Amino acid sequence: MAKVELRDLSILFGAFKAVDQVNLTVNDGEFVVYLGPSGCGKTTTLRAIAGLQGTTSGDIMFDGQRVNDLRPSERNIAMVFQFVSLYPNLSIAENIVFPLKARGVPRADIARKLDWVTGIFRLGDDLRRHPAALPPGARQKVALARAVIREPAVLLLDEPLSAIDEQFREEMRWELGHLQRELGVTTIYVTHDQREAMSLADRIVLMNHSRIVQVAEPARIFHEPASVFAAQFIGSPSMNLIDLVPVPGGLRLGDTTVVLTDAELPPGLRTKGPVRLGIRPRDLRLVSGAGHALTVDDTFRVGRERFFTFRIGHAILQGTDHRSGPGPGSIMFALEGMNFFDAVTGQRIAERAAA
Amino acid sequence: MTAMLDIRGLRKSYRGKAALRGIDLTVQAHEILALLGPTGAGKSSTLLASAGLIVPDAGQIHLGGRDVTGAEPSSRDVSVVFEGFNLLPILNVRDNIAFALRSSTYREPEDEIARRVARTADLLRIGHLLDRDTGTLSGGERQRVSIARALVRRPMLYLLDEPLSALDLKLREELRAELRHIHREHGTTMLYATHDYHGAIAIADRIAIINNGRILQTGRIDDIFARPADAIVGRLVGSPSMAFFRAEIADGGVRVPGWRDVLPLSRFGKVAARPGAVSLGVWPEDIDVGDSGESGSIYAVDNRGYEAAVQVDCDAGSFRKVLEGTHVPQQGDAVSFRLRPGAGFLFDPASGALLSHQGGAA
Repeated sequence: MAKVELRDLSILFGAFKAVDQVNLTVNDGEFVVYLGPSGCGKTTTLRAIAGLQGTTSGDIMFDGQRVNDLRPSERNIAMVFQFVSLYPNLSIAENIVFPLKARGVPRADIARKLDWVTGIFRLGDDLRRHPAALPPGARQKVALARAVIREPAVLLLDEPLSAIDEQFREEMRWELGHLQRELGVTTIYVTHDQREAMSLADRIVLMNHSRIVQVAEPARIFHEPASVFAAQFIGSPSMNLIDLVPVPGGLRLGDTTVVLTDAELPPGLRTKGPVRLGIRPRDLRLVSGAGHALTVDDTFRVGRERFFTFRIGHAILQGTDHRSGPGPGSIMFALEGMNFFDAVTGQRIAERAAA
Repeated sequence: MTAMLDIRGLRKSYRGKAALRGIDLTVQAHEILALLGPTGAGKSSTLLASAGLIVPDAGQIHLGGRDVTGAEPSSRDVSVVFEGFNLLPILNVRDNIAFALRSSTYREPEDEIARRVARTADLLRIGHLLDRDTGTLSGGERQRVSIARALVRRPMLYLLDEPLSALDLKLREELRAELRHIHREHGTTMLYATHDYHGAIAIADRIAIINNGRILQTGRIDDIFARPADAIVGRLVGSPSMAFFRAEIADGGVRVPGWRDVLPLSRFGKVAARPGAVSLGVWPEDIDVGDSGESGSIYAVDNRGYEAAVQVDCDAGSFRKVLEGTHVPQQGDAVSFRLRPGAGFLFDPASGALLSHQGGAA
């Protein structure tokens, strides 16, 4: 196990900054998930931590020791990639113990460690089978068992679930979460799938355009996104974004006549310019009774929840349908769900009101 | 209501391997029916047969009241989107989308074609790609072009086979909303095949559950929750899906190994089973995790930001559930849980058939 630190890490490909001044501390045993759109620099960062990618400037530290100049094999890391490469002619057991055999670990130790890993991964029934006999999700589990059997200081995972059928992916997500906490190994995981990141991470590192946008626990990043980008990237259905124009006594929604009065706004919000309100669909409620009357376009379900959509100008907004039955409703904004962003920079500008 | 598509006893084998084992399915006019099932269940074969692109071994297909079982694909007035549908490579995006409108069936005037192509391309956010060669597009872009090709027409029936599964989550959500919008505006009829439960309930009026070449159940999602016709239905529906526990019918009660409480058989309505092994299925929403009841332990925790879900293991099985309270237990914690009054269904552990609630929901 190890603590991993990135200090002012930059990686240039010619003139292109793939990673731009990244600072991050991953604590011993922590599960950190790098999340971002393709090309944001997350995989490049992971490869640099593994030693597969050179750095331009800055330090990569394992437990306080600079490892930039160490070869991958000298870093005591294990890496699992999107596409599993097991030896097809070896049994599952032989595949798993391969890294130990290659290092000349005594036979008794190998047997003991295989027992340990087999127990945690619940692979007992599959040990004598060959990779081709296992479904893809199970093969990825074997690759993971092979990665952790030599107890690496850091486990690096590059989109390990994205090549797996959607039906097995959710299963594997549960397994991965369970296994990482069981093993307690420092884990850095790269994905573009926000659901995976939300499910698995102790903390999410959200990246965009080669820079870190926000580092926070999943709940924090969900409820208090640092920018419009973070607000839109995380959460499904997406956070509603509505342009607000200051008017006497409150803020007007776009070009409509609906005004959020000062009483409906967080007391801390002082703004002179236009702002964007970000509000999760779960905090935008269609209720029977008093509120802002607007025309509902559509209602639909996500799970057992009912949602509705309505339009403000060109924006289509979504909310949760809390009406007891069909019929007209009006729209309520939940004060504790309001996020305010600078309309120009997209940065968060006001603290949420206490719930 | 009138049936737009009516399929009876449809069978199809490929090289002796049965893909469809007697499909009965009705899509009502102006509805979206989702065909929900795992890979290999027979979804694509059902759609291909409806479009006339494969010849069934047995069964009838009626479209708009007409028997089209042996009819040519071009005479059926259906519009098809398949995952990875091939675009015409020699045409650019605009001409690909306009292709059907220029065909002998439609022969729309060119200004009308231009208007509809532009509008459809806008909907699918491919307006900027209209002059591009299809070979230069990304997978997601090609998929959107193939959806546009289908949506630009107004056929009697749209057949959509996993049309959104290759797209990322945000685009998928937006396109689902667009499909619903098109459906609302034009009263279109759609058969939408998917393996994604969320996708199915987000778009469909009704859902047909397909597995192993057979339709297990068709209905509104609330009806399916109220009376799941088969254990497979429980596994394919819900988020998380149904929890199953090994159980036994003995002395007028249902006993679950390791559980303190015996469930009286009377709570399961009329039960078509004799004493012996059964599978107890419970929707996660009907299990309360709290301070008392049966004992289990937390296998894993799934934090989703706005809520947390847990997997709870006990001797007789395990379940996954979204927690309602703010307290989230840790992996390895001991927890207690109990079933809500009246909750639970009994299934045949071998065949999966529903044994309880014979004669309707409790």
